[in-house]
Amino acid sequence: MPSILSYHRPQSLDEAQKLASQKNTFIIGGGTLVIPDVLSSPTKEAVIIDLQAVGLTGIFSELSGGQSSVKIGAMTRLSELIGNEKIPMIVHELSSKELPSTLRTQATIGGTIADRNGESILLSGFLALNAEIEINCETWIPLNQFLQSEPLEGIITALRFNIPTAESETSFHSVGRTPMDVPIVSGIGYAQSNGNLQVSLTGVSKIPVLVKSDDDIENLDPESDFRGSSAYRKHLASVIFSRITEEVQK
Amino acid sequence: MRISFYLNEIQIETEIELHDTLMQLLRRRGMVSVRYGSDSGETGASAVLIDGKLSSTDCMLAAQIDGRDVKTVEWFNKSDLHPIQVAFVATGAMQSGYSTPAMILGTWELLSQNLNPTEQDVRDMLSGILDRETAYVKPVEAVMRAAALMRGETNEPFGPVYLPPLTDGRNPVDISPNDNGPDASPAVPRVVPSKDVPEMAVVGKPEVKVDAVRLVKGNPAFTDDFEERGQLIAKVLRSPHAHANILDIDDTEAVALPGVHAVIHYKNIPRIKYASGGQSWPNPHPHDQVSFDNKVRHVGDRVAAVAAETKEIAQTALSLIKVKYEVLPYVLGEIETMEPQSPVIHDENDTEEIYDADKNIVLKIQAERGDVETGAKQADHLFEDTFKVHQVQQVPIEPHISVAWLDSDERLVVRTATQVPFHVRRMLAPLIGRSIKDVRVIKPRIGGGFGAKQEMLIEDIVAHLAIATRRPVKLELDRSEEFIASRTRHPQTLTFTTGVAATGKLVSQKLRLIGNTGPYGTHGLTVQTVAGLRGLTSYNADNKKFDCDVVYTNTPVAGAYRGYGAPQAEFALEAHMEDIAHALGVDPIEFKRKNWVKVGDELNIAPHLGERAVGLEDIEEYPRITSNGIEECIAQGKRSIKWHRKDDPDWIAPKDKPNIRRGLGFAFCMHGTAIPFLDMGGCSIKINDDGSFNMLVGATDLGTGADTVLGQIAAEVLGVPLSDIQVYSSDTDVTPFDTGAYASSTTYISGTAAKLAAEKVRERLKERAAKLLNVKEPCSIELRDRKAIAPDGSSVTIEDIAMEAFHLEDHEQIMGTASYVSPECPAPFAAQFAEIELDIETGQITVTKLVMAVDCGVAINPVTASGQVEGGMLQALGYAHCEEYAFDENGKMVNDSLGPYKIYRADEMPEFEVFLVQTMEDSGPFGAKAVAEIPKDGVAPAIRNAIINATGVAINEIPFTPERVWQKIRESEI
Repeated sequence: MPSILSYHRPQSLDEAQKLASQKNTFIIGGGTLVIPDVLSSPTKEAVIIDLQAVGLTGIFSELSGGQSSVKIGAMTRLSELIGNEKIPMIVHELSSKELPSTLRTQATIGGTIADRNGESILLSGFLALNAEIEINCETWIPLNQFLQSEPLEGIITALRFNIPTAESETSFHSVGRTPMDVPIVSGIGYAQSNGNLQVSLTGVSKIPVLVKSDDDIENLDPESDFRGSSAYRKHLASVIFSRITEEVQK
Repeated sequence: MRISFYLNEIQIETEIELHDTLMQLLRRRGMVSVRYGSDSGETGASAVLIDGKLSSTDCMLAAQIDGRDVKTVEWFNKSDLHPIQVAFVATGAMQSGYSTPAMILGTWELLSQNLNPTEQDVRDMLSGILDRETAYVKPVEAVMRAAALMRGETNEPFGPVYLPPLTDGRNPVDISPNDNGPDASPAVPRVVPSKDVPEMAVVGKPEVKVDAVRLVKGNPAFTDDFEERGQLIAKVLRSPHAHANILDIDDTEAVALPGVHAVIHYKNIPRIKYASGGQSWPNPHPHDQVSFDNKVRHVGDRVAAVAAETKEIAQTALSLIKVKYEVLPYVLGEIETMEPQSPVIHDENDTEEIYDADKNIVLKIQAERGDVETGAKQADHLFEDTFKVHQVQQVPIEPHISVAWLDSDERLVVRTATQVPFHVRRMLAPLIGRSIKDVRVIKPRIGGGFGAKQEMLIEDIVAHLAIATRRPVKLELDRSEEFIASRTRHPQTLTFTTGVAATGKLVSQKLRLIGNTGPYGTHGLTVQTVAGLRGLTSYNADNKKFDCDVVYTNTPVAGAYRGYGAPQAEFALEAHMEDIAHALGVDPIEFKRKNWVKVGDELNIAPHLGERAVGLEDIEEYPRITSNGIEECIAQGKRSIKWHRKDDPDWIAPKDKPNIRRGLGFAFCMHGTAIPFLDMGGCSIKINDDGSFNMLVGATDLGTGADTVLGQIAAEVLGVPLSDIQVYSSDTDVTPFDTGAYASSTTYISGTAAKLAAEKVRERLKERAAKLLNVKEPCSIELRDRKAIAPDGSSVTIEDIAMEAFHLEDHEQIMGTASYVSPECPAPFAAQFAEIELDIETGQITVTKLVMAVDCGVAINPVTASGQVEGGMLQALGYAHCEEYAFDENGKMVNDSLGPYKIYRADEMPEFEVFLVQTMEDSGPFGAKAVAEIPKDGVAPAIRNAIINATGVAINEIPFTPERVWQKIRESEI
């Protein structure tokens, strides 16, 4: 029968954290991923905690030690990133490609991070930019660490990353069935002003992964699916890595 | 839970269930413009403005909206149309109109922020609203024109641009590289008029669709927009196995669940054999289905159905049904299924006329003219190529939906999204033990069909449940069910063997085809025969042979899909002919031109294929080509695509993009218009007091604009504007019979019926006018501008004639009824061109432009006709490029949702350009031939041939997904 046991709209983070300690809780930002999943599983019992009244919105520029960064509240919708002057162009591009118009108005940054989707180009972009995420408005941890570890207790409250400097380079390459398809494999390259390049890849693992050399790609072991075999995905990773390398070196 | 929110500026306080989606809440409150397309926001049909932002409501809880602001398109609905609605109406931006309200709301949001949007802005806004009908071409135009209106500008009336012909209609011409063609929006149809076609008042004009206002307002129109009191919800328990016997079903717990009213399955529903394909009587054999069987033959096959008070109770009840399966081996491939070790899919003893059940061969179809073996021996060159085409789905945004109830006379009424209401009535009646007279089928507006709804797919389930419960019962498939339990295009393996003389003329052509119908026959016979027909009639050869096996497998069921066998056959044929030309070292278009059928040529195998196939001895005269505008089509298409670039190495391999190759491809397309001696349409027209007319047609408008086109035909005959014709279609109790919307038949067949009925009315009007005007010869009177006009210029209005007939003298209801079946099947022709970019390191293909120039005779409405071509090309592009069924190791489809099953969206479309090249087809109403299906035929081979132009690599299997293309390139070592 109805799978949703209760719906809560906490007014503060404290309240949300208390509610989240119950069993079977599902925290939603926009709910675009969680709600269809819950409703399609009538035997799944769910307590929904909707963060829309908690705040956690906004895009803020920060300056620390001469380094500009941007902090994005976890409840910020993807559509709000597009066109925001504080957001670098690469993130504009990835945000608009991440989801179509009718979903990006609901989907949130927090939900995108929490989903840990290995095909999310926006998550991959944040990874390439060495983003950090904030848990419970208290603790900042590197996004890469978050993705590599088991799901943490607590609520994702914000994300921040340093704004790429004028001397740095970013590059996005992808291969898909059609131009706006979820890429079979994509890469977002970020070369900092010191010349160090890292590329975040989607489509090669259950989470986006960072690679810095051909050896890293050699060690990948992507799963096959109908859109691309493991060998093909590895080939694409190699091609994309070399294209990004060439582009940022130019 | 109680929530409060603003709906269209009115504060609403209401109780909701926690599991209610916002879409459910809004529809319950009468906002029927919010439409179901999926449960995860993928289609955008349910999108509304939430706090001013376009958002899908099917993936959102109603609870989330507490305290927020919601606007639906009903918010616009004042006495006058909003400028956005005006623009959508004027441009013909909607076909079925199912998702149009979402597009209008998105336009409002966009233009509220920016009255000067770029095309890219518009396409980005539309990216969340999937559309299988318009290819987004005219919606983009509508948004741009709405922006102009809202800036206070005035738009030029939307209509075709008329182009001078480039050829004399028969001979090819060289196209100057400097000739750029018309400078007009892509949405504007390019019409090349024929001197043989007279000027007309209504026909050939870009009339606004008769149902446009209803659709832009989001008014009730579709099956789910009308709710019967006490309506129950049905859900179907589907097989998790690709092949299994059902040893037992225990429904005890499900029946006992409060709110459940009926559970049906093989143990309580009579076993009556039928074939579900919506086709004329007698339905082709084998009749290999029953409503509920004790065997399942594909993942998603029916096991049981429940009717309950709510969807949630019905779903819970399904989980309480205990089914004991004996899982059997399964087979998916059309070649493998015929091998000795393959499982027998139909081992029951009550299905007749399976050709060889032990080998899973449903049917064997053979036809031959001349002697192919001898012809091949006589040929100077013999070529053979094998092609594989795959399974795809029609993906109507409105899924299958039916509601059934018993009316006050205890007759069963079914309101259903069907293309074939009359076939459904005839096929349904015996399954529920009723006579045809006790069944009424009503077809409301349909949100796309494309053949998927040429089937009696779910109507028997709601009928059984309505009879069992004596309550109205609704069943709507979800998106996954639409993939696994609806209908699909037949996968096929096709081998062409062609003998060519030293002159370049074809001597013999043989097509060996193995067609995969899935586990049930439905359209297995007819789709494959059409594939044979289309594969073997485009080119002349004295010796032709079709040899076909239709086989059972455990894939989801194949059926009718727009094109109906032609896209498969023409992919193989146009690829094969291209390869022959390259092998012979001749220009492919020249080679094809030497052999394609021209006016007067005999269609020498056509009568021996199809539902009404005849033997060699039974035919005195073969049909011939009666009109053919292909040369002009090619000239227009070449100019548009800049065909000369195919020989420019610098364009093909741009120096600044070393991994990119570019290519241009061409495909010759030929289709049919209706099924001769079989497709029949009826029409009835009566006059009203004010000189307007009610027109009743059995024809089914799927969004194609059929109601509009038929109205235009009648209006032309009766000398009135289209607005004087009220069109009613498809209610088996009320409208005349029609075989249904398929086989590219509506304009030609139902259009001729409409013309004949209107002519009967016209004759009566003239006779009465002659009396009123004291004219001796009624035939000398003309009907024009709502008047009957005598040769001396005196006139009487049609309204006056009507008033006199109703109220004054010789009282009568002026009316006319007619029906039509055609002995002919005139062929539309088209030239399809494609431009691509191919990344040779990754195999990724980007289709950058598609051009189709179509000879569809006289397009009755060039806007709706060009819309048909645009939408058809979009679907054909998906077929060629990205859509496919993928299965896991258990035979379960793994990509049964939109996204993994990829269909094109607005922000990734190639450029489209459509030309309508007029010819005068004397057998058609006002010169019309078909247009709906031919756009499906040429995109795949044109892209395939463009890949050859780009890389020299020939790929004989679709879709051209990146890994497949990459593998082929690697194998060729370019």
